[in-house]
Amino acid sequence: MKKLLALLLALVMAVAVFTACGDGNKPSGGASADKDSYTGIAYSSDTVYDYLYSAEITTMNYLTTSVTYNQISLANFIDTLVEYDAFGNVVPCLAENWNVSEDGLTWTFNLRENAKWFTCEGEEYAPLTAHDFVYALHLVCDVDFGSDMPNLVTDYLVNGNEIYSGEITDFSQLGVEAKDDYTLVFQLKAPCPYFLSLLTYGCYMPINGAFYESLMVEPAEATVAPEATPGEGEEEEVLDNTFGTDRDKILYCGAYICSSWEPQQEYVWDKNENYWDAEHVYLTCINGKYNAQADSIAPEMFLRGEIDSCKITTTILDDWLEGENAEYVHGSKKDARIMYMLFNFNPNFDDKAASDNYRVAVNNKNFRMSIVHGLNKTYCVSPYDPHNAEALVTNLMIPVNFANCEGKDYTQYGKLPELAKGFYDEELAKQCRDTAKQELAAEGVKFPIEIPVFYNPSEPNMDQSCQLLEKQLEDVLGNDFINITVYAGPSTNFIGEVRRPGLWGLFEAGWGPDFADPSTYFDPFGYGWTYGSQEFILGDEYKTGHIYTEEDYKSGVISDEELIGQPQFVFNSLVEAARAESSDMNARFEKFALAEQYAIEEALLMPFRQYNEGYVASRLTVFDRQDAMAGICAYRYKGMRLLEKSYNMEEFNKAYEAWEKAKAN
Amino acid sequence: MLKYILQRFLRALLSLFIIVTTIFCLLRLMPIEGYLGPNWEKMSKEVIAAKLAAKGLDKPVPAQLFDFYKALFNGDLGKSWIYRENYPITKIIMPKMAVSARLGAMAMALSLLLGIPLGASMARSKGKWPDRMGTAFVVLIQAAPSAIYFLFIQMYATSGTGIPMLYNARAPISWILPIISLALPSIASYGMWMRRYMVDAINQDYVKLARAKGIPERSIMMRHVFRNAFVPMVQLVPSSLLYTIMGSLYVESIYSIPGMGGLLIDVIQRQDNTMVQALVLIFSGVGILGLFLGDVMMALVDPRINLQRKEESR
Amino acid sequence: MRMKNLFRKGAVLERMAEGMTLQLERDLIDEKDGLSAQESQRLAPSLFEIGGYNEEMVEATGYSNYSYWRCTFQAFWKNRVARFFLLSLAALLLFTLVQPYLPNQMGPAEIFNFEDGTVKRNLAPNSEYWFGTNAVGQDLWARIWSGTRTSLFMALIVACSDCVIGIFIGVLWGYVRKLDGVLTEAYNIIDNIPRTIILILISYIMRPGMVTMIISMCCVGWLGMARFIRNQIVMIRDRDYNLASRCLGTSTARIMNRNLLPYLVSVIMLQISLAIPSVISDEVFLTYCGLGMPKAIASLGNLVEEGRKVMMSPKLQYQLIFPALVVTFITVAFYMIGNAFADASDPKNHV
Repeated sequence: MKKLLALLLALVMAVAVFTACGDGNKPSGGASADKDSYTGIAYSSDTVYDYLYSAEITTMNYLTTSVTYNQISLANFIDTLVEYDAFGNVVPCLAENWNVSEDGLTWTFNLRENAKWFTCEGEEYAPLTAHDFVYALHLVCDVDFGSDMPNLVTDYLVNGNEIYSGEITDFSQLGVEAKDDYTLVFQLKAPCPYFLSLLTYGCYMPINGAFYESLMVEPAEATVAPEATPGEGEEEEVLDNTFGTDRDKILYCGAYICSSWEPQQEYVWDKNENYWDAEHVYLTCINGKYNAQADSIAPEMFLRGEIDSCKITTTILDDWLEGENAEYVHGSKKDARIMYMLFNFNPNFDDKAASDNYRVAVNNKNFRMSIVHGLNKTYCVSPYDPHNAEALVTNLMIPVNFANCEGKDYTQYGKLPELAKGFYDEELAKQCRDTAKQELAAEGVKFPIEIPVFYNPSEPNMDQSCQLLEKQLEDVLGNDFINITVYAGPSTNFIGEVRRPGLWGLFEAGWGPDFADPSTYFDPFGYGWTYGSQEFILGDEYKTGHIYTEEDYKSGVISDEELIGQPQFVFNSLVEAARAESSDMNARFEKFALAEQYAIEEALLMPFRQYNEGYVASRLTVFDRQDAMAGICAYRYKGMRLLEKSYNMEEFNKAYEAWEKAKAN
Repeated sequence: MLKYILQRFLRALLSLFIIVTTIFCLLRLMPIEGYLGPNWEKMSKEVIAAKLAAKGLDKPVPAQLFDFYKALFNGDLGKSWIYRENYPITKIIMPKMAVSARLGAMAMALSLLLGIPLGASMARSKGKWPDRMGTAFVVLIQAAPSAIYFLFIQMYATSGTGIPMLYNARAPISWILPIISLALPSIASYGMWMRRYMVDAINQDYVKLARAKGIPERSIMMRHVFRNAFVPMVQLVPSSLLYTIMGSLYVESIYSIPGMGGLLIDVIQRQDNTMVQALVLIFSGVGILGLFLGDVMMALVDPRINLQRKEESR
Repeated sequence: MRMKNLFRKGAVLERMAEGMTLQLERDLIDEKDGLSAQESQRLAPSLFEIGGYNEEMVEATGYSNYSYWRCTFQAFWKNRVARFFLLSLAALLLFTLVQPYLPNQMGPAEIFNFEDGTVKRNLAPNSEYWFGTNAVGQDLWARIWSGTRTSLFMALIVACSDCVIGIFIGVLWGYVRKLDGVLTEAYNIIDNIPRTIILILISYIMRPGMVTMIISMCCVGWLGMARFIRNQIVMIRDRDYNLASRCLGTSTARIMNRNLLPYLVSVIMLQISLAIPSVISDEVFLTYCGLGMPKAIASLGNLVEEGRKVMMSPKLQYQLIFPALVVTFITVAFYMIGNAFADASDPKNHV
């Protein structure tokens, strides 16, 4: 009853806010306040967003977690220093303005004074100050705190790594400082052009020190706790803090407050009416209901009006697009995650002979090119989007609109525009195959060459995609040349069981950006990573002649001590050169483009597809969402509304086009 | 009697101990990456080491096992690793246990209410159509995979009837289908046994005598047939409890009931091993307890069973 | 005490196995024994004449031409329901075996494209693809039969290994009295845990796949078999007629063959035929939990799981209904046949 009342109250307030606020920050002018500016679909008077979810929040400790579905909720509970607008521009959030010193090392942020902490009951707890950021960063840099991604802090702030490894025990030496209550200063190790995008990560969120300390478990209780074996005192101190384990175990400074959380049942987030930017929060309540089988059940519930959005899996997509439900189905904005097809230069198949056979073959450039030219990406990607597979295919390592320098998109640098056209050419593939056959036969390779391909059973549609890949490549290149076999990997720990041991010949791997700079996409291909194991490429033409030294390790060129004494590779040196260039962005992008071009032209890897959420039926506005390629801002509901009716394909495409145009301006 | 109960109880404890220890050790054989959540690949070596140490996984297995039992003795099942990071398992499980227990109890009540009349009416119309229909039902339920007919129930019973597809704690109408699904296997087994015991009893001489004496059929059925047939039914209750547990794994998952059955599948898929341990302990405990109670109940209900004497005869 | 406990605990499952249809048929026969007045009049009057005393006849010893197996099959054949299931199951099994060799059949893993190179996804049943195609563009008809073969193959392996392990342990358990206590304890411990939990755990800890599934099912399957064998041996071994046979100098082989085996054969047959439905059910369940076979392999569990994912879309429900019907038919048929055979093999019913 109480909940119902609260809901009613919220509704009434919503209507009040709605009529009061008029057109706040409408993306493009000219639209009236009650219609979507792109399509003219009316906004719904319903401001409670109901949906079905299958992945439960595991923790509300936003400083430690790196799990997407945790971040979705935490992004709405906690604000960051800066955020993005609907077109991907950085805008102030908790920081009202900021400036950078000449040398690019000192960043000073002036915080807004009207931001407050609230408890889960919506009561004001304390003002949010610069000290809260300092406290949080000290926690993140404490190894015992157990943050998932401390590197995003320790690699950038002065003394970060030293404090994390315990060399320096005085936390005040970390490169962050509260000048006064509302002035926050960061000291960086090196200039970092993309520092603002880092600030949108959970590990840069603030935490109220007094509240955190109030959650320390009482010593009396701690002795009863079983893990409290002597000799572990230090760890216990941190472990037994209950911060983030429940909705009343965090404070809120964002647009929403979690007013109910019953794991595996439901959660309710109510709009915080006292939020500093409450007028731009249009959805008054976010109401998630749990179902382990959400994907198969949600569409039906959407049609019955029980929920406002659902995913339309490819299996039922045709059914929806053909019938009257086509009115509700639309695509989604592309994600910044890129999936690659990797070649394995260090194969370790179960079958030793096949493995050695493949090792020789994969080191032959013509063999790799025959696959690069033979692979019909559109066909193989079709399980992910049978109607518009073309749009998902990517031929580059970095998506369009991810990073730009003075208005020039990264993908326009160097030879990239040419590479983006793709390589699929069956004739060329057959030529390469014939050359490769001759060359490899001379080296004693046995045909057909066995290529194991694994799929992850918990990744939807991947099994289908792999089966299509098998058929397609074998059709083009012939069964007598290659023999692809599709295996199922384990659904838990797929990467550890399959990719790292090297059981595969071709492997679809992916990478999402950590910050808004091309270099993030080159991280997985650094020396010593298992993404393709480039250090095992045999050909001398790929080696630079430079051998990694102790110096390189100390200066951070290589992160693994074992690599000292190993040869350096061309691709690696290209990437390192590009990374080193941090002052001239134009030159930096040129250099990254060169590295990317090398990797693609030498067929060290094949960019495969860009990730997207697939088709949905959803009454949520799509393009009011914060547009962020990296960080957690894209998960915020702030600024979003419910429509009278879900977009259909046509409306979506039209709006997407209009939005992209608006973004480019 | 007391000695018997004590003996059974100790044996139950021993079973539990062996099961939990075996599972604990086996789970430690699994690759450690699974403990770090989906994003472990972006973690550095130091982060991974710190996380494992925090979970006590850096110690040798016997030490971990010792810690586990020590905690268990204090009524503490440990903390969840992945499902809800760092949250006490007992607190996670308690509310779920209540949900499962409530549904389970309702399903068992329903199966008794439907199963026994079903069996009784089948026995009375032996060989006629109601009996044949009942038999076909029983065979179908017992032979066909429950996973399949549960799905069909969910698929057809929700379209057009206004019954929601998912469980909702506040809308009792949504409890109907899960309860029916949970009860079906037990209904079938109660029906089958009730019918058989009744047929046995009807063929007894004392029933013939009662008929010969002209006692009304109704009271023969109630007094002589039904009551005699009902006694052995008692021992079926625990096995029906086992059916309900097994069913709950699947039913709770498809109806998204926030109970323990769905939870087990969930934590298995997410490799939260402390939770798996705790749940296996509880499920096995319930199973063992059920059988134990069944034996004891049988001994109490049926005066003809004398445990002491038979024990000596062995 | 132990033994009593053991019997009672097993009793539920044991008797369940006997099935009730046959009981029903038996009951019907009992009632039909009463003849109507007309029928009794039609009986030959010579039957009612007094035979008188004949010394030769008194001394004559008869030799029954009773054959255990003939009677078993006769009794089985009389059961109309079982007969129906046996014949149709035999037809189905034969069909699954020869199906790949029939003309115009497609491969279960083959992917079909339209002329324009796109995949034939989710085609409703039509004249070319009788059961339609699935989301990858594979022929559901071919997949169902291939899946039936896979699942039945697995079921047979599990059933046979259950028997081998079960008989071996059961014989030890029954004959070697020293082992009785240990094995009884072990049995009680394993039997106390819900079967599904063991299945899930084993499949979880090992890497999912066919071998893992077979192993996990064998781990729980032998229990029932071992207990049956042990109980039969304990019961039969010291029966008077066996003692008598031994006293009369019958060879052990003949005792085994004539006196013990008939009892055990019926039990074994029953176990095998009941193991098959339960293996198929378990496979469906494990696949649901994500612990099944690789999806590329057609098996009944995978097909049902594929169908389950699309069941809320009415046009695609055929992807669930066809495999579900096949699974249901196979499991029910094996269950009925097993029970009918168990009843028929009971010498008490050979009158």
